[in-house]
Amino acid sequence: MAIRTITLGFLVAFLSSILGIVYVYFYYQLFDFTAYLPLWKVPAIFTFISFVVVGFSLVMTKLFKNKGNIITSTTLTLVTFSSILLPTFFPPRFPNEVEVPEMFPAFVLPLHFFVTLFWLLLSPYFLLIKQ
Amino acid sequence: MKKTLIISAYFIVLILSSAVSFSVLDHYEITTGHKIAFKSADPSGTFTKISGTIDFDEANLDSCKFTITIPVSSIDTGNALRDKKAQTAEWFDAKNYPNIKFTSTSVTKDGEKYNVKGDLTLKGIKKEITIPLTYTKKDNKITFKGTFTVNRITFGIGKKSEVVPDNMAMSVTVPAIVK
Repeated sequence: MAIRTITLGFLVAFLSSILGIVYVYFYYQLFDFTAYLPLWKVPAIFTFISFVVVGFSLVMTKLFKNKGNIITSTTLTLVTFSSILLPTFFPPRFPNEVEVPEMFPAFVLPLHFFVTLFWLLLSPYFLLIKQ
Repeated sequence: MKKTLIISAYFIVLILSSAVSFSVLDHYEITTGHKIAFKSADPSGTFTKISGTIDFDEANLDSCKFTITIPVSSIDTGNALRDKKAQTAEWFDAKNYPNIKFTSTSVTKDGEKYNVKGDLTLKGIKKEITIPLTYTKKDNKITFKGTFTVNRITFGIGKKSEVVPDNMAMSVTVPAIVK
């Protein structure tokens, strides 16, 4: 089970990173936030989040057996939606060179969903087998 | 064996990605003690004001960024009349283009020097230049020094003249402190 979960984590990290790089690259042609969020950080952040989810999933499966995956998916979804509120409670402090900070929320909100959507899309293929 | 490898890979990638995700670039703000000088047979002088920010990390040059603004009005040639003339449309056209801007696009290391490539915007004309800089660091203050040449004609600064040469030798000293 651990191997399948980790493999899922690698795949989610890879796919969300690719999509994230493409999305950020094209968005930065319009509004450049490189000074706040460099392009190279996107795959690192997505990989980190994916692997944290893997760890969480493994712990939940260990504790709650078959219900572990349901708890992981539910928690991940709730955390993702809650994270939309983050910029409201912890407004980012932009460097001076960011010219249009008001465009940042519109840019970053879709990114919050990349890892979650890939996890929810792929987890049935990896985690619901032989249960 | 396979399981150990995959679990090891998991922890290695987790640690590496967290290190990169939470790494913070050193962000500097230009401070006092700067010197932006230009020299030619005639005239020579300095720009007394400069502002901007510098993101600099020796270990991660890809993410370094220089964003610098120099107000044209701060020109000081040691001659008030000439300073006033420099603001006119024939020269810097300060009314329409009040600032000289430089935004870096890449930083590479060449021996002891850092080659900062970027876009220099003068009188509304943007051109790519490379500025070789040396770098020193003391506590929370860094200082960049370098020299380079700017051809004023390519930026539309004045006209060809036998008195004022086309090329201006620029000498910069830019100190910055951690913001």
